[in-house]
Amino acid sequence: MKHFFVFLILVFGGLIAAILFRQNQDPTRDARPVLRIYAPSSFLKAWGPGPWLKEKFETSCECRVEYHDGQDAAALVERVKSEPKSRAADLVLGFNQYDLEIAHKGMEWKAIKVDSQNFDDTVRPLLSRTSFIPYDWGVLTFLAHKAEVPVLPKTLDDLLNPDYAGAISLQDPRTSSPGLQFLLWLIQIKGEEEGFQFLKKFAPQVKVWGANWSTSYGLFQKHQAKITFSYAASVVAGIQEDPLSDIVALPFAEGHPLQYEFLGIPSTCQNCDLAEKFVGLVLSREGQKVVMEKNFMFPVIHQVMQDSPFDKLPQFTTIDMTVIPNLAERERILKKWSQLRRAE
Amino acid sequence: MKFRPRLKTGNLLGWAVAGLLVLPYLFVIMQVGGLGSVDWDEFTWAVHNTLFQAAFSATLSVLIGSLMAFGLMQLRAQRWHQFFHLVLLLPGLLPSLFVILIYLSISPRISLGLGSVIVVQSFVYSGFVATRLSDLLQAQGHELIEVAVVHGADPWLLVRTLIGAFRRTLYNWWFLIFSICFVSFSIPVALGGARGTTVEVLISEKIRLPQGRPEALSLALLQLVGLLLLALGLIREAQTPPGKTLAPIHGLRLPRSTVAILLLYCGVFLFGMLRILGNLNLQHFVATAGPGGLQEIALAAVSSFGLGLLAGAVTVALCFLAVVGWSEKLDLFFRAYTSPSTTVMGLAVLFIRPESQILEIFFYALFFVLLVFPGLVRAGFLPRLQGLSQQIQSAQVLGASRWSIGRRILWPQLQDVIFQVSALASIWMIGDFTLARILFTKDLFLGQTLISLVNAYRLEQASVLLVLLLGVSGIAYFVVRGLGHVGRQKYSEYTR
Amino acid sequence: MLASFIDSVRYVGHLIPVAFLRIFMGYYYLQQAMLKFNGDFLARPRLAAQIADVLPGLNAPVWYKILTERIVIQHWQAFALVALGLEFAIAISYLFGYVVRPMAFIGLLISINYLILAGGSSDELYRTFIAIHFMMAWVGAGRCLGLDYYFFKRRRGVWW
Repeated sequence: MKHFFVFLILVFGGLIAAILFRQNQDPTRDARPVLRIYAPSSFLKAWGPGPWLKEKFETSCECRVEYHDGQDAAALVERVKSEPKSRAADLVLGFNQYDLEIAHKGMEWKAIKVDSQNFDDTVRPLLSRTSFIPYDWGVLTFLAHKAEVPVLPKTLDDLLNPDYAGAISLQDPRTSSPGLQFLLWLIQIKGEEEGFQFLKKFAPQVKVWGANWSTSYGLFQKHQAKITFSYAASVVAGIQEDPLSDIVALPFAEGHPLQYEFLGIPSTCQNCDLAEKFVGLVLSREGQKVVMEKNFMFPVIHQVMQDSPFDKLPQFTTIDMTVIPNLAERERILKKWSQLRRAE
Repeated sequence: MKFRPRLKTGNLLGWAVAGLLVLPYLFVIMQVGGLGSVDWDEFTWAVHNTLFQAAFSATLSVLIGSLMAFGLMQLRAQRWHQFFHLVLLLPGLLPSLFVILIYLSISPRISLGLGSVIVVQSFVYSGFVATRLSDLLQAQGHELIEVAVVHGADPWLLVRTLIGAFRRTLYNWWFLIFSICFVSFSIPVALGGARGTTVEVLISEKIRLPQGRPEALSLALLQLVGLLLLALGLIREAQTPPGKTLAPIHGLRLPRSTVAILLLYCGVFLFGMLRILGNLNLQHFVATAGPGGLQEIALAAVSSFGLGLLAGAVTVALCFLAVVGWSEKLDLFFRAYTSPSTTVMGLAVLFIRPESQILEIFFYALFFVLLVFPGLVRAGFLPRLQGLSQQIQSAQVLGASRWSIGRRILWPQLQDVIFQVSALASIWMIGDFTLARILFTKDLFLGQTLISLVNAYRLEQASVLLVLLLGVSGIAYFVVRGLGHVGRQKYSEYTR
Repeated sequence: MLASFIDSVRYVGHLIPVAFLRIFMGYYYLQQAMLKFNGDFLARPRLAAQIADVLPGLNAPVWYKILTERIVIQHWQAFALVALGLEFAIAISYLFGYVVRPMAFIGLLISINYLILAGGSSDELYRTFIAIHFMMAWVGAGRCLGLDYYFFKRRRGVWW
């Protein structure tokens, strides 16, 4: 009987291998064109806007949407460049404003036509770059558990209060874009020398410099940290998960940095028309609503946010983000930050 | 142990394996185009962190493991002995992600840094030391223990004497754990934070962008050279003869506190496991995943199982070549050589990546095995091989060829441990996420899906997937071990 | 094993005609399996459609109808894969004369199912197949010009 079962296993194993091999060899078996989209994990996973957009698009496009995980924005361009021709990207989502220089250097991008009238005033100035179009944006600030932080900080200097010692979770600016945003925000508000002096005094307040936003926010969610640096819209996520949540976003007197997320169509796209149609879906009112509700970021199309929980968030003063330090300058600042960590 | 190989062909097989291990470095050097200048301040800081966490982890592991070994010896009832034996081995066998999740679940206050890294790594490896030492003491320390029992020696005196008697072996295990922790990646990257950057984490940070890759390569080569020098300076020979029958020692007086330490260790681990399993909410998981998600997970489970078996098969093949082609120089190579950093290995595979996804998966399995192979050889059959040196010398004196020695003397006696390490390789393959995330842009395997959930701090869903991953790993382990058992019987019939 | 293959003619030579029938059946199953593999049997729900057509007028026990409706049609892809796999298994088994007895029982079960589900036109064909499979199992058709002889010599037993 042993021979019989082993024989059956071998036959079925061989059959499955043959089926997989055939599918792999002959992608035209499914004759529909394939739209290959590269985006960060947070966009693609079941909890992100990706699945809804895919399902919606596939009902009308007579095509298949294939998502590829670019992990994080910084590695996205490298990921896109390193893929073989048969898996060349048609559309890339997830760049923030600091990644655009790397994106431009690494590859050529097609111009995307959009109607700027539909866009919110906050993002309209960014439409001058036709290769990269913003699809969502967010305000970065500190979040706190109200029950654990009776006296809420109102300025950056308030964070130096001894009550917050070892209570703040932040992100490593070398590996996380919110982390980089915090560092650059500090330098913009206080100047470089004073900013780094502040960081020295701030060190004991930091519980952890997490490798990414998920780690530091996760620690905050688990009440391992009382305060964290995150997106203002994360409050909505917190309330959705737990209606009794006491998470609050803290408006600071200095003003807050903004993060924009962009999409682009590489010039090496194979299904460029489909990519443009997908961009149209992402920037439609319906698509923007889903991006807002699943990505927990603000929409770029105006009036989409009206009558939503996001509209009820406090108004934040924002700072001018048009001057972006170039790559070499950022490397220098990050090296200086690393030196500070080593000296602790 | 002196080898005087006669036939060059046999030697070539062993060196072919060594060549395969070194190949990824060559690929990366060719593609990156050269080495880059290193920020020495940053490098010395990372080296300091690496040495600190590796040395402390190894020391604590050997210390706690040694004490637990004496605790294990006191458990006379065979059933409990086997149970605790298994619990002690589990943290080392299971994917590191599992242990990290346990730590995050049970720690009242998580503090990321070198401290957390040391705690978790010591926890993982002390079980290994405890079980090996316990077996070794009962196999080789039998006479001394019996004398101690008869004369009613003081328990702590007996402990000190036994540890002194096996200090060389303990020292080699210390170095083995040190070298593993030196190049450890998944635990430092998850728990190190910005303050606990090790050389491996630094390499992975640099390698992400093209401008950092020459520097990353320089760091990887510096790491390799550093560990080689340490190995040449620190390694001592210690032999483990073929296993004798282990018998529990009756009337043995050993410190009771060692049993307490053992129970505490096992209690913490089981409590952590229960915390994770307690987070399990299958209904919520099924509802969140949906039919499409469940189908993907099922496919990932099947793919992971196949991948595990493939890794097991590749490991067996490499072990066979290494055993047949064994020589003194190769022995030294395996004791000193360290695999490249995981991210460097990922870069190597990215550059030679074929278009066909099936071949891509094969290369993934092959390069993963190359990553873990030196460690498996060192911990697995290297000590056993050294114990067979007398037989090898006798065979050589009688004129046996390298091929005959390998096939008829070494292979039959090492088969069980080879299939054991291959089964280990298959478990680790299934639990891998680091190399998979570099290579694949879709979640094809369970490890990738799991790390995505952990990164998003969806620990409840991660718990369900973790149980599935453990189940698949367990089945793969038993299949590979079983194949080894069947293969041994068939091989002995064939060579009769 | 090769020696046994040829030796089988000497000792079980009276089964040569059955061996030829076995090999012919193996070839027939291989052809059918390859047609399904190269076609869209796995991609499109042909099996499910076929069953759904005959189900209303099916002369079969109630539990069989319920099983077919609720499980086979819902998971047509898995059952299509199993059916294809079993056809390949029967083909290879009959061609090489390996584990013929147990595979013949599998063939018997498949033929009975096809007889029930195929509809009126292929009744005679599947009845003939049922008889052939039954005969293969009865005489142990793998012993002549097959690998089963090697195992039959060493192990005996009912399965060889």
